[in-house]
Amino acid sequence: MPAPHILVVEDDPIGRDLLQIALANRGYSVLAAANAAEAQECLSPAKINGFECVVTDYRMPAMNGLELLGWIRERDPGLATILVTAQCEKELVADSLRGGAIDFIDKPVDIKTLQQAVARAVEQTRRYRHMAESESAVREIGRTQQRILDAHRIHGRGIVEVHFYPKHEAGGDYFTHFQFGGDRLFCLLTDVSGHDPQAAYVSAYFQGYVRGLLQRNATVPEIFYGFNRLLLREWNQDGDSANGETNVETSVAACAVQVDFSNRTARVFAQGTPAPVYLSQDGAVGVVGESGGTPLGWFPTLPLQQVIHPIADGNSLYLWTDGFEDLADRLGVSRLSLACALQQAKERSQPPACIQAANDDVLMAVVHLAAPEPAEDLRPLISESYHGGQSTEIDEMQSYWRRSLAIAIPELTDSQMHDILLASREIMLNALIHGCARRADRKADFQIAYLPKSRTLRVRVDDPGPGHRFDIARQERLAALELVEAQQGLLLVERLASHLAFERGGAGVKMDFKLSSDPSTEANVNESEP
Amino acid sequence: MNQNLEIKDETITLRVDGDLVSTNAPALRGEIDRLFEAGDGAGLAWKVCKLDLTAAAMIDSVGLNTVVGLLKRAQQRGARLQLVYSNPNVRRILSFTRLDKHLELIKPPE
Repeated sequence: MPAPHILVVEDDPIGRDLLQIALANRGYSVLAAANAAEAQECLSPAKINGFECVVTDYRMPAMNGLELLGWIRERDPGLATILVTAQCEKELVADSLRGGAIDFIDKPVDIKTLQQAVARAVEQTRRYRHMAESESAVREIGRTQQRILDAHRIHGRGIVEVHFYPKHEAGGDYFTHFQFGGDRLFCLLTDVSGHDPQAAYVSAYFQGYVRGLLQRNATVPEIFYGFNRLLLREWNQDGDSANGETNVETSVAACAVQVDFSNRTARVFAQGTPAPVYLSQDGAVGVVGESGGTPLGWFPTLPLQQVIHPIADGNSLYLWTDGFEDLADRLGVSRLSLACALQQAKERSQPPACIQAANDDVLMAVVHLAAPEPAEDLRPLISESYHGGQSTEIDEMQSYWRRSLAIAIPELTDSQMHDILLASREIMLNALIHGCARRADRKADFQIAYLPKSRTLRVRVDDPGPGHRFDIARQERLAALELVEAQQGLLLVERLASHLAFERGGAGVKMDFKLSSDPSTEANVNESEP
Repeated sequence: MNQNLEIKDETITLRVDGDLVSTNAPALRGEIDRLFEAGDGAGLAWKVCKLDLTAAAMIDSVGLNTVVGLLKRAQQRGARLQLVYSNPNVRRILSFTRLDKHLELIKPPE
């Protein structure tokens, strides 16, 4: 290893020589400067990184040692400095420490003290610079991950969009996708435990492992079982085989989706990740399989969760990590509305404001299967089922809808939000009280979707009841003549929604709200009444 | 539900905290029932009933039914019903349902 380079700054020529000789005798490579100006030349941007310690006298003409120290800290805060002071300059010690000197030495300089101080200083400089390099490397890993994940890939059969917001500079969240066999698309979402270069390494290794084996015609179960064994036998320590305990150091949650365009199926394997969500072109939302399952690297026995789901053109599949779900829970919003918020933010080329609340890396991928004919983009925001016994929870439901709508469509005005929530409340109460007869074994489905192109919000409520015979037109006429106490709900909804349609005799309700206009500006209300 | 009931001169004021909706309207209805059952026999000779909804951002159909019920009972008693609101969305709903034609609506200055 080359000798450490030391810069000695001392205006007294004898003192300067003494320092130089004392340090050279210890094997250091020493350069001497007669004043601060010369020292600054030696520490030019091209050369400063070559030094590992600066020993400077305090009292020098023009620029003193403390000022030189400040100058050095601005250019290289990791370069350790030692200030040499006379007895009467003791009070400067406090200043020099605040100024960041690593050490100070009294005059007359004791050679051994000097040599020990320089040794400590060199060690300090090296440690600081090594840490800075590691941090830089971690940031580079994170940037590489981000660059790859940020791609919006277009395949012949569809589009894959990826939204990745890391909380840490490098981590184990990753998503990859590729076509193979001509008619198949493979997607892999990975969440490796940890947020450090090790997690990033394991994630990248696993992705490469999967890709390589797939191209060798291995099946996903074979790949997952194989990697599980690899983690347990080679990377994690095997515990007592009698009780099956394992000292888990690295685990991999993974969701693999194999789309077969010929068979029109998607084969989903979810091990330790949230279950993917499927959206059909007409807006139906469903969960594919179940969330949870055992991550790879936990147990020798790996119960595989495999679901085969039919697919059709124009359908979409949403995959996300638990960091995404955690954020939705923290915000108190639906997962789908958070997904829409991320999509909208990307379209605006702005980071989503809601991401500030994330406690973990957030990764979401959406696989859109191309439709033979263009259809309006439909983004589900809320898709829930409520049972008849939950009519007393309508206030909580409404709050949840409000938060979800606000995050997905922040430009909703107060009046628009009011109308959507009031209409939804009315229809939902009707569904739970009448359609479900307040029975806990009967459920009503509630869905809100956003159609960005037409700026329409669509609410659907479906209940298992027989419907109703409410004649809106007749009730409207009656209400115009006299006050009616009953059946106000449907009359209200009819006025609030841009479009209202009943299906299945009223057991299904579809309401559209046009967001291109603000209801409060359209209302013909006389505000000047007494 | 946390209503305030205030009697001053010939005006009785029912104040509702928050929205007037399905989950709290029944409690208001109960208050109204007690009020009318007490009647003049309890020395309550009021001629104006003021329903204060200044804290409400929403009134749903159950809330509207409660208001209609109150209005009808007030009319039977020969009393007037005033409704105080501050949120424009509440005003719109009263307009949609034509209740604004039957009530005295008051909007306090901001």
